[in-house]
Amino acid sequence: MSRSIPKDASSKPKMTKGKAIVVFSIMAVLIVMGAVFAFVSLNQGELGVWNYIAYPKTISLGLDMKGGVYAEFEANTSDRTDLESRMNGTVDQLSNMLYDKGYTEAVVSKVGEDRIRVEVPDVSDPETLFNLIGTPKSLEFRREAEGETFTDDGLLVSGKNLKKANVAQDNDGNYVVALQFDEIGTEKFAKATEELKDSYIYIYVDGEYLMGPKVNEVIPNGQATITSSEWANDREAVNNIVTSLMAGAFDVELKLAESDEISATLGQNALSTSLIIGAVAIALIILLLVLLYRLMGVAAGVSLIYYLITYVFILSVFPWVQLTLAGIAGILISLGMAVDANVIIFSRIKDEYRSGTGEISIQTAVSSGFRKSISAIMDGNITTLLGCLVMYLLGTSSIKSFALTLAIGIIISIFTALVVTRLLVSGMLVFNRENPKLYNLYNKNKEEMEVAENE
Amino acid sequence: MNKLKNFSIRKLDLSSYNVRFLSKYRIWFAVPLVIILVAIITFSIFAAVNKDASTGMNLGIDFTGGTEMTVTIGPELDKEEVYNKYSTQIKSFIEKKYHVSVVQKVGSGDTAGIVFKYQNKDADLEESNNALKEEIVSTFKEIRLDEVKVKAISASSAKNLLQKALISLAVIFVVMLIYIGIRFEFWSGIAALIGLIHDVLMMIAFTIIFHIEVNTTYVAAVITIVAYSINNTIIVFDRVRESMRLAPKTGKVALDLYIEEAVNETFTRSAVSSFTTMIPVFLLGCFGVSSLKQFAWPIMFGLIAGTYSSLLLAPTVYYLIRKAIMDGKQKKNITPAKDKKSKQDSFSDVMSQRKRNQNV
Repeated sequence: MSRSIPKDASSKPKMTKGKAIVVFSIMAVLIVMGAVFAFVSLNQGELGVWNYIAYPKTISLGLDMKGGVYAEFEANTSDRTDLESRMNGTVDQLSNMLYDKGYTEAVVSKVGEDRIRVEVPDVSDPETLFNLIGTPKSLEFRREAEGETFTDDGLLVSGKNLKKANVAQDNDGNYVVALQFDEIGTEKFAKATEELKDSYIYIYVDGEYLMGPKVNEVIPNGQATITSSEWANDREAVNNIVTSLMAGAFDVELKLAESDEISATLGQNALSTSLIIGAVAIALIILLLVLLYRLMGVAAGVSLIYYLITYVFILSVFPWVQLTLAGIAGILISLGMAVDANVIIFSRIKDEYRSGTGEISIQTAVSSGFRKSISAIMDGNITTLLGCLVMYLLGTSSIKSFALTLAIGIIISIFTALVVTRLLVSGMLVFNRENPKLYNLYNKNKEEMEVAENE
Repeated sequence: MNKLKNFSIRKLDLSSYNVRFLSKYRIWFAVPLVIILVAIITFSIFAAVNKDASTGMNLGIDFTGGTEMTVTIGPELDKEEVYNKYSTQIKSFIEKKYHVSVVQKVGSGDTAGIVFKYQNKDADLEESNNALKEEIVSTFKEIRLDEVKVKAISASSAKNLLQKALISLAVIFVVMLIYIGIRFEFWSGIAALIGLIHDVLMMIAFTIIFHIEVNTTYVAAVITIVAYSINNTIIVFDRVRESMRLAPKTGKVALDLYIEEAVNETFTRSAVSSFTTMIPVFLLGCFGVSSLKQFAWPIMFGLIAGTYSSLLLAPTVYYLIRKAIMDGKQKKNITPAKDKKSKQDSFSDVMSQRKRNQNV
């Protein structure tokens, strides 16, 4: 990793005064722009020609922060075999489905033994929720055509054995319904397609006819697509079919018991308090860094502001990054790590300068300080990133949210410490590299010499 | 004495001190053990006083389960003073009997109401909840009976979260062990892992000692600390790795000196970093809203424990493991009778040599 960074230990500065001024100006412009666009909203006609909403206002907040909608479904418990595992399976199905639809903060949990609670933030109307997950129904793949009487052996595959249905596109770009069956479903579906090749399989939702696609070939692997010229270019129509299929694919039959809106636990008040606390904390941190590392501390302060603006921007731009209580913890800790990366570099530079022999220049200490810190910063952050990855893959939604915010913070902090801070410190050195006190640097040998002289 | 004279906060430079902490390893192990002991005693006292083992830890409603009561008030609830009036009065009313852990506004317009979650451990939930309902209606005349709804909350989703969190933690530990094993060496990985387990245990111990309420957010706090502490430990091991690399390949390796030097050199950095991370957490713990406070204090304890384990515990464990391995190798080469003496010799040799170097 260290190979990618030029091993420039020479005492000659890489930058010229002109280059340093350009770097400082670009950074100043970016910060000012980031800050202005964070606070100012423009309406059409007022100043510009387009509408612009200050980007932090578009940060999506989790249910615990913003409020949203919840619904509770009651399961049909007449069939009690494996009820618990089937309930858990349905919970997973529901949360995967909501996750696929972009509601990353949706919380699905079991309430008691026969109820499932779904919480979706950022949705103000319970109706929207039902449109999203569909009203749970029963789904059957049958032998009988529309209007024919159902017989006992007419059921080919039950919806319970459908693992997933989603919108896909075929090679020609046409929208298709993609089906994926579970193990039992695959077996049953293979048998059915073998038997009914060139004939039809009819799909019923809640006993009502939905469609009857023709079986073109035997499907042994449980993965089928349904195509039709009717919806080849209509994504919305395919999406509706998928929703009603998925609604019947749950392992248990569900009935809506209740639904309501939830107002924010923490509320707007909590958010503004947290923001004030954050601002005070950052001011204190920057103050401390400036006291400890003088001009380098100033560079770290600027790079922290960079870190913040970039972070807020990413939170605002990507809708799947939602801010929750656990997410705030992730941000706090990643802020700590962003500061940490700077502190590692600076204490390394101090070490290099202190233990340097002879006429060590500030430039040399800075160059080797940055170079020698890279392995520590990278190894430390990669281990934490690996942890985030595991949490993201295995955790529940709040743990996922924490992992995501922390990972984003770590990636930005590596960038700000190794690029922004480095550029700023290098730029400063162009203007002043003779006075170590400006950087709070001390050399052991030089000091001892001074002490000896005084005595 | 001379060393003290040289010290200045301005320089914040402790590296010339070379604190010899490894020889005092018994103390570094004793401190966490004492804290765990205190936690066990506190746990037992709480459990004994309440005659219920589950009260040893202050488990929140997420873990114990309980009752959710919704009181519908109507459109006027949007006014802050109306909300404050009902939420505080009904809360204190319920608190006469049960512990209320959540008060939350729900709905809007005609359906606007307040949700109270409380831990109801009565045998017959329905009967005691109905009794409470009646009492509320008779106390607050303006609330009708059909405007108060109660229902049971199960602890299953929190248990599900805990289960998933534990699985994630186990996998994280394994993944980190592999990564550190590749980038450093296997025994650094083991030492780092012991440090992490220490951090988790310390957080739990502090939570028991201060009887802090544990809800689902607590699980996130524990994971936060694991993520932070591993980073800290790696920084220290990075220094150890570096000085080992620069160390002479032949001859006796003064492992203790290299480790101590690495820790001494990273001490300033760790102190500054931990302190800067503690600033926002501490402010949040003091001034944040209640649910964030619940979150901030465990993280604060964890930061302290994490700094301790990164600087003292993990390096000490690493040293002891490596020393045991080195001693084991020596035993194979040297006759047992001479073993002890020669080992002491080797260490004192290196140390005196090191001292000479420093005096030059």
